[in-house]
Amino acid sequence: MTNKDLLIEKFLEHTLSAEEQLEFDRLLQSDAAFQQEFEFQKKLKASIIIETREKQKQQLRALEREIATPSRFKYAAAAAIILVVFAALIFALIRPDTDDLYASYYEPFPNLEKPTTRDKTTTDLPAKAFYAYDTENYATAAALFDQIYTQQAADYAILYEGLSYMELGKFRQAIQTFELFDFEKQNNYTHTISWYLALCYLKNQQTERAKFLLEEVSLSDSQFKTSSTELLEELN
Amino acid sequence: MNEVEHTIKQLREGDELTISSVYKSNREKFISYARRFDINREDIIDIYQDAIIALTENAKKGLLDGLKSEISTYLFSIGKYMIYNHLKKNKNLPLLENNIPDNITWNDYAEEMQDDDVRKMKASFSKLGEQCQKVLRLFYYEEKKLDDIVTALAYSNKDVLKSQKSRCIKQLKELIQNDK
Repeated sequence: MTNKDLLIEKFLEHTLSAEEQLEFDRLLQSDAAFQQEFEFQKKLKASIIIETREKQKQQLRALEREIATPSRFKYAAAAAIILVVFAALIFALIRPDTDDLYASYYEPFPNLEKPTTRDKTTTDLPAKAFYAYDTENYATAAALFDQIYTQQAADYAILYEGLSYMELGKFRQAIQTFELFDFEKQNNYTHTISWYLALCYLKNQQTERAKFLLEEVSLSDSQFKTSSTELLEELN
Repeated sequence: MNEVEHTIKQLREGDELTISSVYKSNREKFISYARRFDINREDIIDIYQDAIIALTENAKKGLLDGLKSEISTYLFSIGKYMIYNHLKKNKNLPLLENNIPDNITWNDYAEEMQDDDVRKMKASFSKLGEQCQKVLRLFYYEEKKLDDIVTALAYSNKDVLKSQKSRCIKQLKELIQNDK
């Protein structure tokens, strides 16, 4: 094994000394054959990783099939699916229109964070954002809350950016914004965001997702508990 | 050795029963966590499986050694990172840089998967003999040092392993040539 091969090997092992690292960098810049061998080794590493992961994935898929459909249930499952499809068809004919439900449950959410000052010259980003929100300039508000989120990942920025999109009728963007929230956190925003996210899903006719969120909110002690319970009943 | 340490050891060794029990015991919780996002069920399962693979890979690299939390917490932080990546990829989210949590490494090799050389190498690799696959997998995939591979595969000394590894790579290069 040449010295060069040894360097590549040590690089892959993460055992290069500082001195060897310098030599390694120098060769990579100046020696075409070394560069080529290094490229080969990198691709080899990638291909072995991809191959090994594919094998593991196959095993996990087999495991998943085992969990999802124990064989004695397969026929029952098929029958159940047919039933569900029929039920869904009938249900679709009689269930309330999601747009109507949205309209009767959606209420704009007030600014509870920052009392707005009338000073339009303020340079404070949150103050500007809430000013835009309170004066119903929702496009501006959404853009400003997005900046705040980018800078400090604040939860309130997620809530009010999403709300601004809802006011603009941009439900896809509202959903994408609310999804940035870390739902494992339990804070003042958790159920408020879940509630409004559920309404967006409702508007988007993704009723199952909406129901899932409403169930959570209806079990909470949030201000939207009662509304969630009622809306759920109407959806069921 | 407590229970967590024991599980980590089993994961490091690639014990299938342990992997399957970790898979089963966190699956429902993960699915119901992910359901609030606009991701279809098939993709949720796919992401969950990647998270399990990342968990075992990180265990093999020793990144779970001395873990202070539960395995499931670690698995969830990988999974959450992957969910955000998925949402980001599919929707061009105007997002804060999604930093990978500490103690976790994950490269999805998306670019390499599209590379023709890599595809050919992958096909040739699966044609290699079992021993060659083992040696190369330990070195390149598990990132084991040669000294550790000597012990793991019971070689008499490092030189024997080194010449075996060179032979395997030579064979692989020949297979790739023949495929062209």
